[in-house]
Amino acid sequence: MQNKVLNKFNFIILTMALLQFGTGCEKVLDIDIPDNDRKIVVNGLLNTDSLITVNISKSLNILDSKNIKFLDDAEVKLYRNNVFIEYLTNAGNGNFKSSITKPVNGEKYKIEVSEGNIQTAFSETVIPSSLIGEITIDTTTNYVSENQFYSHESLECTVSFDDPPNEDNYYWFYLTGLYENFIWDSENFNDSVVYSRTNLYFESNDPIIDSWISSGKNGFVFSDELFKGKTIKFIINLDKGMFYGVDTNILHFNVNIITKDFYLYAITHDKHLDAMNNPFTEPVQVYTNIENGYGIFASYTTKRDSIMLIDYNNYYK
Amino acid sequence: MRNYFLLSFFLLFYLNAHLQTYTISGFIEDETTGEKLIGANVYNEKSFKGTITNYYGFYSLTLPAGKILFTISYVGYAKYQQEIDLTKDLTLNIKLTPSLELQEVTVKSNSIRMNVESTQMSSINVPIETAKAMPMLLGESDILKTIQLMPGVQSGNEGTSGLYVRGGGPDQNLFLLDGVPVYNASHLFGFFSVFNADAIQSVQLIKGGYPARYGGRLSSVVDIRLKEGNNKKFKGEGSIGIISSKLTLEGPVKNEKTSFLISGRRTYIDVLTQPIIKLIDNNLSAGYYFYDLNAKINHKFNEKSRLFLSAYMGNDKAYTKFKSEYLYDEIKHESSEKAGLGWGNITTALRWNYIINKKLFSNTTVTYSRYKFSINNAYTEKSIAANNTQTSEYSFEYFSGIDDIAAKIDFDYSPNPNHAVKFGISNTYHTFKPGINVFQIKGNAESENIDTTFGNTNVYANELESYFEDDIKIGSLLKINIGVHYSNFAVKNVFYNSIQPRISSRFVITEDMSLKASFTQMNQNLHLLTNSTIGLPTDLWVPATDKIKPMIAYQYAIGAIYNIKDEIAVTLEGFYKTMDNLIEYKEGASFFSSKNDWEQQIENGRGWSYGGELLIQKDVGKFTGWIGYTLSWNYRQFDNIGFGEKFPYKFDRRHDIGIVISYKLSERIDMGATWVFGTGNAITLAQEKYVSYFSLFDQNDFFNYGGQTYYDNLEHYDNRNGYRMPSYHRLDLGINIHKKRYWGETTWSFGLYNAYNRQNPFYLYFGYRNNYYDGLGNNQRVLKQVSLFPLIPSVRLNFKF
Repeated sequence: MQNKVLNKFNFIILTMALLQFGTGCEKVLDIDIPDNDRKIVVNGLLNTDSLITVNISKSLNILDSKNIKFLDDAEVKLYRNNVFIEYLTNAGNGNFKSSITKPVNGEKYKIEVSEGNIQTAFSETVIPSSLIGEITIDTTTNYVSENQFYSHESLECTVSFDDPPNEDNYYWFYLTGLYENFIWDSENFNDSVVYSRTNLYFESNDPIIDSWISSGKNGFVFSDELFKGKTIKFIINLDKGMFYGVDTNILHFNVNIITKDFYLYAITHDKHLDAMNNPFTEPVQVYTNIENGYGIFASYTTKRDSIMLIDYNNYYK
Repeated sequence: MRNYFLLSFFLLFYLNAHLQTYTISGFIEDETTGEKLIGANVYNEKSFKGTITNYYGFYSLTLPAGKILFTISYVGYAKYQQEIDLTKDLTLNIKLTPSLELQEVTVKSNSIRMNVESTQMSSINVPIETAKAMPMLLGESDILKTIQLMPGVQSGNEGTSGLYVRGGGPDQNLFLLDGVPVYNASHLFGFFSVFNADAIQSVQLIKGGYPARYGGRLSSVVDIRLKEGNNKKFKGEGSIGIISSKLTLEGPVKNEKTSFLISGRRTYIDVLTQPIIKLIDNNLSAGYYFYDLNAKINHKFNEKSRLFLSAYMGNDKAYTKFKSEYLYDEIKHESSEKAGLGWGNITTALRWNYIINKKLFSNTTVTYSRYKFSINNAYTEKSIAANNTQTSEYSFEYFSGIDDIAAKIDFDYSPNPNHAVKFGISNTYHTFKPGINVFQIKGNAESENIDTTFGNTNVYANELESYFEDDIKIGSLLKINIGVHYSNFAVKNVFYNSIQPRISSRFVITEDMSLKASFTQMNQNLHLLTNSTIGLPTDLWVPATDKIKPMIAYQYAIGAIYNIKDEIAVTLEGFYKTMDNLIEYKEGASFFSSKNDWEQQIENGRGWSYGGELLIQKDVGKFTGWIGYTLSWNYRQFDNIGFGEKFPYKFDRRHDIGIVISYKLSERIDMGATWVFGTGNAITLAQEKYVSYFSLFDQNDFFNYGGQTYYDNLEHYDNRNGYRMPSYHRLDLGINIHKKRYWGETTWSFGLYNAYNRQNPFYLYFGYRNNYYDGLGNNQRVLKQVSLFPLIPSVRLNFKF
């Protein structure tokens, strides 16, 4: 949080400095940027719940006006424990899918991507073990003052679980909600149930957080560096206003064990975007484990626990 | 044969030491103001054996008995000469007459000749009066920006006053204000330095060949001495400019024994912009200002004993305040919010000069300095009902800084003209405050109150330093300054000891030319943590620790100085410098963002630089100024940055030129011009872009734009600092028109900054040609350059009385 505050202040400083002199101007610069050979970009995050899917695209020159170039004609080979299994099938927009292979804990998956004259790209990942112990969730409701006379409810959740001993572990936490709404069907004179599932925004100032992923909705990543083999505990807060008027809410607390590669990708990704928007900081290179290419090919396993909110209609006090 | 040489040498040394000698000592001062003159040349013109006055105007010269032509010269003053038959020790306090009141021909000085004689190389005495008369941004004269125009010194980003000396960083300069270190030497986010030229008597820049008395920084020493105050009569000077005004007052307090000086400066951007802000929103108040204040008082107890008390205080402050109120349901609601950002230095020094005997001078100093940076935010809310008022308050403050308390004693010992010895010892106790947060909430109920302090704990360190140096004359051609600087730095139960050898020498080729060479080791126990490519007040000073070692630099330099008709000095130097244990944040790390100790966020690396410098300088006559040219290479290498490959430092400039010209047209008018050129800064530019994983698989992280799906792109950089911004060049012009008044003198100064309106690069970024993306990939993506300062005229009224 402090970092964000200070970054903000740095911008205020610079903005003020520019405003004080108030006369900055801008021009297009012709600069010779060598047009190196393009590279294959692999983006895939495997998990034991889904069939394998990866996205294949091509890097672009920085001055290219296009936003993305998918490689739908690529050849994508999948190996398990160094044994070829199958060619992944193109499903459009650069997505390549397996129709049979669901990853298994502890097994190594390797991908080999080739396309035309572009150098062949490789990567591999070992599916992490699942979290053995249970996830514990303790909740309490706090009243947050909006002004002297009104306050709203905030759900404070303390999440705890045991870190597997004798190994370096990396985690990704996010929150999903399954909404169950009963809608009155006036033609048939009965209730119909509508389910919707989405990632939920939440807040946390817990020092365990190493990096948020893109936004609060996608959760955060952290390592067990300070908790090796011990109980890991952190606190998150949800504005209960988002459940107002919803009939049933099931909140899923997703604790994923991720590979170190994905952990590094996530934290450098966040810092890369921060630095990209500030011309006065050194750029940050995003981590990649793709040989001869860019992107990320990694994996995770999910452990989930849930709580339920029913008929929540008590937002303001 | 070897024994014969040894015997001859011994006899010569013995005879030399036992010739009948006498000592002349005393102070040299300005006749009109009583200011002591620093670095005045004191010598026997018959033998050219001599010395220079120290920082307090004191000299001690021991010569063989007999007739001498006792001579004193100093730039801008008439030469003083007196035939003396030296038969006993003498005390001569000499008053020099400023040259302004004399004929042009008398102005020539022997200072260049003495530079030819001196062992000190890579050193420049900054001409204060030229600096004050030079055209500058918004008419604000600035000592550090004048130094940037010297060879071997590079400026940072446009308009900023940071110094990058011989490949070093801005944290590697030791700024001494009356002997007290100043940590953040800039106002207005680096655009102005904290040093007010009106209060300054002398500035010496040393960028290599460091004498042993200096230590603690790798790349330069900027030794700034404040005026003591006129002890003859009350005087004042000041100026009114576009963004600031300043006033300096000085005068005697008692019988020429006590004098004072006080000098203040304040900007008024906030005052000028306030009505405009009020027009936009009457409830809003916002602004920025800086001020600084120098004060000094000195008292002469007797000819042997003097006491000085000097202080500096400067602050920058940016602030916003917002108030609102409304009535609802018969309850009046009031709220106010204020936020601020501030930083500033305080330095104080109490100094006692005591002449122990004619050959031994002592200076005892006690100093205190503080640098503080803070951010604060406070919110207050009141609800006023007929029979009840309720208040809640929230406040947050973050501050960081460094406090130093130091004591030191220095001695100057002049046993004979062949030796000038300096030695001393100092101790500094540092308190580092690397980021403290104070968070308070005050509600109506006691249970709601929070008052907590958290953050990084203070780090305490002790730095003990001592030095010994001797300027030794060996025969008529060779002179060597040899010394050693010892440092002991104690932090967190770790002790870092370093013995830093310093040696510099000169060899006279002809009366007007000498060759010089030096080797020095410098250690620095402090590091500056910064993520920014420009100096910001948020940058943090931290000590070396058990995990982060002190920085070490070795510098080798050779050079020659040539004197043309005692008017023009031509200096040519080459240097090679290595720097070890440099630190940088790991890519993307920052002091505040990690749960880990900051020491684990650091990468260690090294740097090296080499190059040549040419300085042609003319200080006397109607036409004065200098041409400085630097050709240099400057690299860094960190094992875990950029795959361990060497990369250019961001301010690696192959060519750097500074030309300063001042011409005195008449007594009423003088004109000045400055032209600077620098190879573009090294920057990291992306070559490729590619899609982000999160953008592909998270439906909320891409969006539809004009019928096309737009994905977040990441950028790939092949080489750190692999590109060059366009070259920087700029011409500044100025004219000063003086007029005598019955009460003193006024000077109107008109200036043009960036006279030919060059669009110099401030930063580059990738965008689209017409500032929008059409979603179809039709609009061309381009690299854009943002420039900061176009042609800026300025005017300033200066006055003296």
